[in-house]
Amino acid sequence: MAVDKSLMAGSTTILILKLLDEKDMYGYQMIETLAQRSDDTFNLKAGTLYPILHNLARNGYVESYEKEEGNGKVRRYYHLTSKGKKILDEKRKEWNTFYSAVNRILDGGVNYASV
Amino acid sequence: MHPYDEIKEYSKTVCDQIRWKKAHKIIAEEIENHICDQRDAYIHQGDDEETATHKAVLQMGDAVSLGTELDKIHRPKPQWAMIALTFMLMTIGMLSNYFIGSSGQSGSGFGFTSYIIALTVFFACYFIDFSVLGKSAKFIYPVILIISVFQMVTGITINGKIYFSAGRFTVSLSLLSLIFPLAYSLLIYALRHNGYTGIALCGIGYIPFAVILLLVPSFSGFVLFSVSALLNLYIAVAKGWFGNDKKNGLLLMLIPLCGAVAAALIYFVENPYSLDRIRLAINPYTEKDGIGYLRCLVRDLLVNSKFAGMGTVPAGYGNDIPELPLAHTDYILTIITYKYGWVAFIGIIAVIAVFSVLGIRYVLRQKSVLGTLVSLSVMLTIVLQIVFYVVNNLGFGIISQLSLPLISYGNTALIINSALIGFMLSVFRTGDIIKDSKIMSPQKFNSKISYNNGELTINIKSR
Repeated sequence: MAVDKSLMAGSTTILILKLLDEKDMYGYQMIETLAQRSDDTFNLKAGTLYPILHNLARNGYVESYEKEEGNGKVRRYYHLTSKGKKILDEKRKEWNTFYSAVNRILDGGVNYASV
Repeated sequence: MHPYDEIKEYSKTVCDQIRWKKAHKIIAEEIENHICDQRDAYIHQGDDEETATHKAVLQMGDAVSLGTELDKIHRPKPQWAMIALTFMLMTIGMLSNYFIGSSGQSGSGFGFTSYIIALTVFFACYFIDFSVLGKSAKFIYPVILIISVFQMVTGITINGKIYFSAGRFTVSLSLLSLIFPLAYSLLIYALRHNGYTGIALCGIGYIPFAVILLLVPSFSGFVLFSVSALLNLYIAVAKGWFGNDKKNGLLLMLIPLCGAVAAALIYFVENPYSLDRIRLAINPYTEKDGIGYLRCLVRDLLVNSKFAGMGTVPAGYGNDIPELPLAHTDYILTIITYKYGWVAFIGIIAVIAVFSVLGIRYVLRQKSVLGTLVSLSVMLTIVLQIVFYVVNNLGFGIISQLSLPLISYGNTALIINSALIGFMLSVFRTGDIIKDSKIMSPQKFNSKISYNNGELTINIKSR
């Protein structure tokens, strides 16, 4: 199912950081991996990905380097720095808080008015 | 339109939105690679090349909005604080040379023209950009070596030291030590993809510069060059920039390191005066009327300096203020402290310290190989000059001073230091975007000697 873009926007950074936490990746690989793992729910455009990646690099959360593949193609890989790992942890906590709060409300949750 | 032109046109539109031209190449490559990957995926699914390319470009999203977004991110980062500190150091130098002339008297050593030239050189190097050094890296080391050897052979000897002389212009070849670290860092850069051969060649490349400085002779120049060169080499090896195994690379690096230590020891043994220097640094008063005179005078002047204002005449020098020889070149800090008080000393040291600390912080933040090597070699050249100079000016010098960057009198040192700082600040400004950190696959190494799992392979067949 296609997801509203505004919902996607808030979570793209954390998804990218999470992918890079597993291994170094290049841009196209990140888009493909996200699409595969989410059954095409996350169909990220390169136009969205690269500004986010370059911004993360500017802030020191990721580092990039070029690597020549076996077929002679040179690709720019991104690597999560220790500063990036910290921000991922923070964003994960922030996301869990937000996610559980949204769910509590959507599921009815505790009715504070009756407490 | 040819399918590949469609890809090129897309990346060009993206780059047209990005005002900082230096970022174009790196971004265009990344975008084009991405489109090619996407195109190949579509071809794999059964599309022909033209359709696949067209679909891949559409999949990228709007080129103008991508370019606009990237334009916000990629901007040169001028380090205003460092530029301001450079101006402050130059102003301090200009004022110091005005008030402390060649004879230690006010108003006789005003070097306004020199500082205008220095400022021009600084900006020229700052805007020419250090990447130009990377492009000609493999030529710089041999050219500097040939020029230096030529100067050594044709130079004139004054008091046992070799000088370059042309008409009225005479300058000590010890100042070569300010250029050698940068030239050597470029040698490392040029050889970085050559595996163990590269490390070995860098070790060999260290020798001629070290020998030249010992022959000048300039022991301080030798120490400055050796520290800078070996630290740069160590970092390059430890980070695996040669494509080497880090542990084996570091073992190989022990050879030039031991060579440097051995050369220093031989120099000490061959020059008994070097041992005197250690003794005199501890207590110069045993030879106050001989070779310890200058150190005693420096210490006596400092002891008699006030917190602010002119110091008192030290005992044992009669009624007149004793003249400190070469005050404006070698002892400008001592004489400023004596004439204007410790407050002036503290002020100057504070500016120098902030410059050094900020500079080192920026060096540590560099990501690119060229940026790291260039900025580290320059920063070490500046910091070591400062350390040698300040220690000597406090009367505790073991190895002699070269110059106090941008402050002490000496046009050649001033201009070389201005150029070096110009290049270093250009690293801080644009270093993030410099493209050099390519990791080559092992078969791409030109190395003829390789070592793997205890197996040493020597490839004698030319590729």
